[in-house]
Amino acid sequence: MTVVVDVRQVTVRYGSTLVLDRVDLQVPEGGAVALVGENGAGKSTLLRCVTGLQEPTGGDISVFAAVPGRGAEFWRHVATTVESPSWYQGLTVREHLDLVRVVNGGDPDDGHIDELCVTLGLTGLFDSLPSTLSSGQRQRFLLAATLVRPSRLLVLDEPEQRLDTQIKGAVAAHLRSYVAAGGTLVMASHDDGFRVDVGAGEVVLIRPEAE
Amino acid sequence: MTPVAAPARPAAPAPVHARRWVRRRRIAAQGRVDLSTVYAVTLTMLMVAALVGQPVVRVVWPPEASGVPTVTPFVGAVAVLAAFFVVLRQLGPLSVSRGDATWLLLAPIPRRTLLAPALALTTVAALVVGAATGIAVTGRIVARPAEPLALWAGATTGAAAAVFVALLAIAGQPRPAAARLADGGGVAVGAGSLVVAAVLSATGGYDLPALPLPPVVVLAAGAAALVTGLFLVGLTLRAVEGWPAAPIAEASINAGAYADVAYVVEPSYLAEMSARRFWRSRTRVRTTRLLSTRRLAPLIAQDLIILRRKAPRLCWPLGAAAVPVYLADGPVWLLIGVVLIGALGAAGFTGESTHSDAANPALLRLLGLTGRQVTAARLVVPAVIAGGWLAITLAVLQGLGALSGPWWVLGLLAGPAVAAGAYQRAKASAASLGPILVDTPLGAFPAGMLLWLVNGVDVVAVLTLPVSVGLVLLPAPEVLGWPWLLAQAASSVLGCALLVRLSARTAGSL
Repeated sequence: MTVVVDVRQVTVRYGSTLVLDRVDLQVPEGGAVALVGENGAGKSTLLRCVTGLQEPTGGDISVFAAVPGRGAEFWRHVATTVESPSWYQGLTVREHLDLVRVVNGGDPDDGHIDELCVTLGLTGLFDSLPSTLSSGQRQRFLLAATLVRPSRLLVLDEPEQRLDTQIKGAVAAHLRSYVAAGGTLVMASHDDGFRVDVGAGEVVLIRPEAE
Repeated sequence: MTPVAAPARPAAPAPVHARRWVRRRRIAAQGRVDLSTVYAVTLTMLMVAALVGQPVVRVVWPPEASGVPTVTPFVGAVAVLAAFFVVLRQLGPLSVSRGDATWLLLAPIPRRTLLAPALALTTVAALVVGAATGIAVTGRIVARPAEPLALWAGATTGAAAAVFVALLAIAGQPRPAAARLADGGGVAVGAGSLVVAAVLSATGGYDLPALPLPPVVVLAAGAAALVTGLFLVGLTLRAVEGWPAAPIAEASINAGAYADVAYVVEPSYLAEMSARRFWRSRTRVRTTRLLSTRRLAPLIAQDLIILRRKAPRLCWPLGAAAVPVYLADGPVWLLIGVVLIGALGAAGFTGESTHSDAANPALLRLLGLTGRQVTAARLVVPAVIAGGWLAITLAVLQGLGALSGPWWVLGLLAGPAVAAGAYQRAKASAASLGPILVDTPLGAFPAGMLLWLVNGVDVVAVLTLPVSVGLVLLPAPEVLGWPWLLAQAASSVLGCALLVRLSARTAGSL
């Protein structure tokens, strides 16, 4: 089976602080893994490295057999919530979702956006400007924008954060069907129940100092 | 079961004590006012007085005056007071420091104590601005040598008028809906006065009949109005007790942001803040179908949606299109400057998205578009706006007889060149342009702001050379020929092609 994410002996240091120490991770196509570990274990850092938003201090990373983060082609395949975008001030929530889907070659009227927004409880917010959303609503909006676009790899940083139980279950079901349809998922999570619902394998990261 | 005593209700702290305590803590943390700061401030004020004192005095009190009262100075005074109103509304006018807004505004401390300094500052500013305006009007309608009574009458009446303007601005602060109307009124009165003043200057002015009132009567009426105004200020101090916290907190955030702009010399914050305030005030935005129908390229559709939503603001570029008319007979360099900068302003109308993408390209990565694709799409709508603006302006100049030939076509063709400059301008912030500090005798100054001021203007100046050179060489009855059109078309195409070519080939940067 094709390996989509291949992390070999990756080390990341912030100054004198060692965050990741020779970490290995291989995720095959259609696979789902959840990085778990205490705060500061390097989950978000590893996700940033996988998306190419951060250069590791040492080691090699390849995604779809290429260096991550280079070129528009990479970002056509990979969708992530590792960074928070500053939304366009004059566009409504629904227009943002339409824009993301249209630009990525999808049809905004095929019902996918509506279905996802029902799942995430965003239907009443279609006409809202992003600046008026609460932090929880923004989290759901970012998840929606990431999930409405076609992708082959999802890199999600704690997608269960600030979601209520019902929506959490629906998101888990959505991610499970994404993986079942052949998508690959790498996420960080603090919620074991959510991880199990998604069907993601557990990869435990340990703070290097604690070893 | 052991009875549990209810916690004692804490006594409300005396406001004076709270402020005194905060001041003591601040002094303990930061020390008292530094002598070197006092020295620097005094030196700056003296230098400003030495540099601009004389010209300012000449403006307020011109050495010569005909003694024939005309309408123009009064119209000018209305423009100054309208501008004063708009500035006060932008500042709050009643605000507190950020720290006080966080800790003291929501504490059980009387608003009166908290807002008295801001109210005093607003009143003093009104007195100074009003008195200077009153003296300036007097200086233009009274023959020399002027009697001191006339001077006092002018100063008092002006001060009274400005105090009432300040009271109006303060009254609007807790009433956002009414204040928005008043803001529009302020801008309209100010801009209208400028237009009227320009027309009066062009037509030679309109003489008033000799003053029917002796100065002593004006002085008495002005003094009575001033006393009434100050009494109303006193009543306002009592009324602020019932104000909600939100308008004060918002004004404090704005005032803090203005302080940041001055402190870090980053003027692009102002544009961002103005955009945020604009979009926050839009409460009736409804999703359009322009994107989902997929008839237009998505980023062009996005710019069109923004353009439609910002339609109320289109009156600015439309009004500005009339300004070159007043300069048709003036120096040609000024006309070129106004035409090009006006077009640049119009082209920057939809620039917020570019500015936001340049500052945080995460959304570009989500869209999966390369910098080149984004740049090409984001030039289209600004090119049409700038082309339209230039076509109207040049056609009006043509209508006045200042130009001859197909100038409006030249304007249309220059649109893409101006759009390239506007795109370049939208991408940058002062900090991104120049972190280099320039040493001046008054201390280090970040070069970024200077570069920011000319950023984009340089691109427009080069790419629209056929328009500028044409305005210099071809005043009517010279007729604009087709080689000029060809040159401008080539320059516009070349400019846009270069800009797209120089943009990133990867996603996530422009």
